[in-house]
Amino acid sequence: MREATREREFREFAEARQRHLRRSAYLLCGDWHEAQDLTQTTLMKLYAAWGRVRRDGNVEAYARTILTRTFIDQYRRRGWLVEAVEEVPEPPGGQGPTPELRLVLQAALMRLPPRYRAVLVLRFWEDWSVEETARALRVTTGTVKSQTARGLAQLRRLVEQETVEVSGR
Amino acid sequence: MTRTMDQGDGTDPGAEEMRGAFEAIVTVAAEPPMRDVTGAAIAGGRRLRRRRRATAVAGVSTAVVVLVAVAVGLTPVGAEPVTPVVPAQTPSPSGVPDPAPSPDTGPSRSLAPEDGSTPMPSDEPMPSDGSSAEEPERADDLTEQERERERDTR
Repeated sequence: MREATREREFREFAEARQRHLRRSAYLLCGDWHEAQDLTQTTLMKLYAAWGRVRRDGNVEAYARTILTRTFIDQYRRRGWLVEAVEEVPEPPGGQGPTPELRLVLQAALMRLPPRYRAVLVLRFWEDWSVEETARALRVTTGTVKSQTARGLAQLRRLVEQETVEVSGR
Repeated sequence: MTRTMDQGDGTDPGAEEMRGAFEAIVTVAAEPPMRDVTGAAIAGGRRLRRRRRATAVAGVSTAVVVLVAVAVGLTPVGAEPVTPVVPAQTPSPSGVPDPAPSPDTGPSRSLAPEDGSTPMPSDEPMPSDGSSAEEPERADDLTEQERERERDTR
């Protein structure tokens, strides 16, 4: 009975929020399939702790925190340096034309180190404060501020670089 | 998405730009249809919870075993052994001397040699020739003799 209620509550939340979670995951990893897996892992971890999370309240924030930490953990295991210079995944074919700007932005975003990407996504996509971001990433607020500044600066540079490359083709 | 982003002490002019960029990436990117991940997440979550519970139980059990082992290890080894209980004595008829050995009657029931030499202290270990093991048996025999004597007097 208790388990059934737990499952029903979780289903309601997951079905309402999984789309947004997958989009956040896509911004972090740049691949829809990987984003789908990341979303599923996030929901699995969330369900395992559902009772406690429900009692604590902020389920939404908890889910985003799990998502970001899972993403960072996965990339930490693979190795930061290798990932940072990885090729930007090509969009799957047969999906119609995509605006150049989006390609440039996404390519630049994917060339950022994962931790910078996570900070930027939490700050500007999720609209989280410095404190909330610091708590989710288990770093100090000073680190969040410096990584935000460096991430933005690096992203601007990369966008300019990508734009020159795209226009030069 | 309209909140002003502060970068510590001031506002960042790139905040709006950044939000716009994220919107563009997500909305323009051809998003594949969402397959159901909820069912798989529930199954995986249950498995994860079971595993965590099993790990916790194993951890507690190991801690208990370690504690018991430590407690047993810390018990003093040279503790005084428990003296064997001597069988209870039946009351002897008056005038008959009590031949059975009893720890209570220690000095009176002296096993001291008649030549007056020093008796062996009671807490000293007995020689390991098996004589100590025979002690309770002899007591039994004596008690038996007493019983027979009692029967005869009746």
